[in-house]
Amino acid sequence: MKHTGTIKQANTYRTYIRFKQLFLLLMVAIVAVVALVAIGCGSSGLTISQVVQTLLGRGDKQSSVIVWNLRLPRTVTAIVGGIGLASVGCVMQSILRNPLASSSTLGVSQGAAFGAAFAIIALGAGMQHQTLDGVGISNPYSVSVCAFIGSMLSTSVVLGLSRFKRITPQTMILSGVALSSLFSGGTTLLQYFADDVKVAAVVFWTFGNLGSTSWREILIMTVVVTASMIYFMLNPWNYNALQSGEDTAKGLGVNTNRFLLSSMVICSVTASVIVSYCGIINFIGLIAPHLMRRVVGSDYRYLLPASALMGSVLLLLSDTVARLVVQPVILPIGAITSFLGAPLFLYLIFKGGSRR
Amino acid sequence: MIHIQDVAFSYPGSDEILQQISFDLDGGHCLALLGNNGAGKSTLLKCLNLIHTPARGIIQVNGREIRSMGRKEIAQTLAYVEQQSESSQMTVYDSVLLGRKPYIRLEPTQADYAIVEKALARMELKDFALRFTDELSGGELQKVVLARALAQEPEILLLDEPTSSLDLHNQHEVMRIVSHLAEEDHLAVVVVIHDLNLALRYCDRFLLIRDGLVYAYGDQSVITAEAVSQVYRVKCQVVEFLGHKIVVVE
Repeated sequence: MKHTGTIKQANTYRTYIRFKQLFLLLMVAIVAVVALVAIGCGSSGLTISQVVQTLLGRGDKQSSVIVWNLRLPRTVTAIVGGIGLASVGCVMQSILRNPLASSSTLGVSQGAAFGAAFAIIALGAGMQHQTLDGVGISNPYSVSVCAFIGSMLSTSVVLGLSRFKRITPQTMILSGVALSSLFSGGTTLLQYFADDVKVAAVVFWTFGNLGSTSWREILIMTVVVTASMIYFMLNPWNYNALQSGEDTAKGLGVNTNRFLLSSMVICSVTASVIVSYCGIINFIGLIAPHLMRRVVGSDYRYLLPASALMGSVLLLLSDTVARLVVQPVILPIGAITSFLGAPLFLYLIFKGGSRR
Repeated sequence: MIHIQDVAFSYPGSDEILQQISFDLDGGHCLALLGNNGAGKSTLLKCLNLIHTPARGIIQVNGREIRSMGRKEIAQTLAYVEQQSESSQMTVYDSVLLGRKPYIRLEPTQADYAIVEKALARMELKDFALRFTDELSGGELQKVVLARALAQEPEILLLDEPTSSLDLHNQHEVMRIVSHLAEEDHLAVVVVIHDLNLALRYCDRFLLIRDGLVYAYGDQSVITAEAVSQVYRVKCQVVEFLGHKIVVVE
């Protein structure tokens, strides 16, 4: 190198990058610890050591039932759901160039809620019994399928507009707001003509619930979230380029039309699958990337995995709070994430300032 | 190096904003695209690297039709700097590293880092390397995007109003850098610019666009009072002052 200052400068940059890599490792450790604590917490409290022993197959019968049948599915759902929602939020914020973008901004969540309400009220998949978690849905599969169709309906309209009318990211958000209104209105109308029991079931579904997913559903969620994460992590430079605007991204070699479309489809499918199994969980997709931007900056090579891991931590913590605050009643996770998330988001806005 | 022939373009549902644009530009020259607001200067710039696809016409770079080139190959040949450079929560180093995007598969190589560091040093940005771009002044930010364009190792540099929103000192500094890039790196530079005097000072080729057509193309001699009056619809005089040709509006 012929410039005297550049060696020092290169070393400083590499130190900065190493800090980000170490931070990612720290986040993995935090997720593992929080997950173990979350598994241990509950009406039958288990120590971390007992949890680890049980996971290694050396626990007693009671611990095994509690861990494997009750707490582990819930914890894995929180980890996978958190990764999915946070990474989708993170990617949407890049491709829509809007810091408020998340699955609910485009009407995906509201579309899912309408689908669920339709299944419960019109198709009779309504409330059957009351549990500690809330109320049980008599036909969860039809609710999930309809929620998925509802969210994809919303996505298809936004994608169709972007494809054929070539709308801007800003207009895309406005379309999402309009669709949210449309689906919310539809859900209200369905509830207006339904009886109390069905309305209660719809309201319960929209609260969000991490405890109703079976291992089969967790597997489906895991496959979808893993596939989308692989796609996102293969394209961090494209997301970095898009932050500077679509024209600059094109100038840097990004095939923006194709890439925006494929990213939107993958985000929508991932969000739809999570929402259809877990209900509406707000703020994770919004807050996790905002928090991590302050630590690792906006470089998507590090922002994406950091946000995904932070999403897991936030959802695990919210779920643990939901289970512990009013034992044995489990509070709705959607309400907890909003309750904790909104003040945190406001704090981030007011704090502004340092990001490194 | 770049050959443009009868290029036409229209936005959906509108008349043709560019009708028959033709010019040639070799490396080592700096071309100023001049014309009124809405004349299609920025549109023409975006047509050159297919950000906009022209309705018809030929765009060749080193004898190759640009439509036959892939997006990455275009980005390796033509670097584009947008009118409003956007700041973000990215460091200066990361922003310039983004210029290596057309070459990077997954992670940058040592060669990529070396090119970035050379571009940073060239733009005198090494002291800013780890600062976030939203902490920079307009002039510093403009240098960052120029460094990013340099990191693309292009043969042709497309600049859309690089001096807009800059103070007088930074306008001249940026244009001095641009003119040096053309001379020293033998780049073909196409720059959209509104300030005729700045263009006369730092560019050596001029393309005047009027009503979607080329009104005049050539060296400084095409900038006459008559041409400026026709293109900008103002009365003016073109005079010599301190050895520089300048346009004085009456």
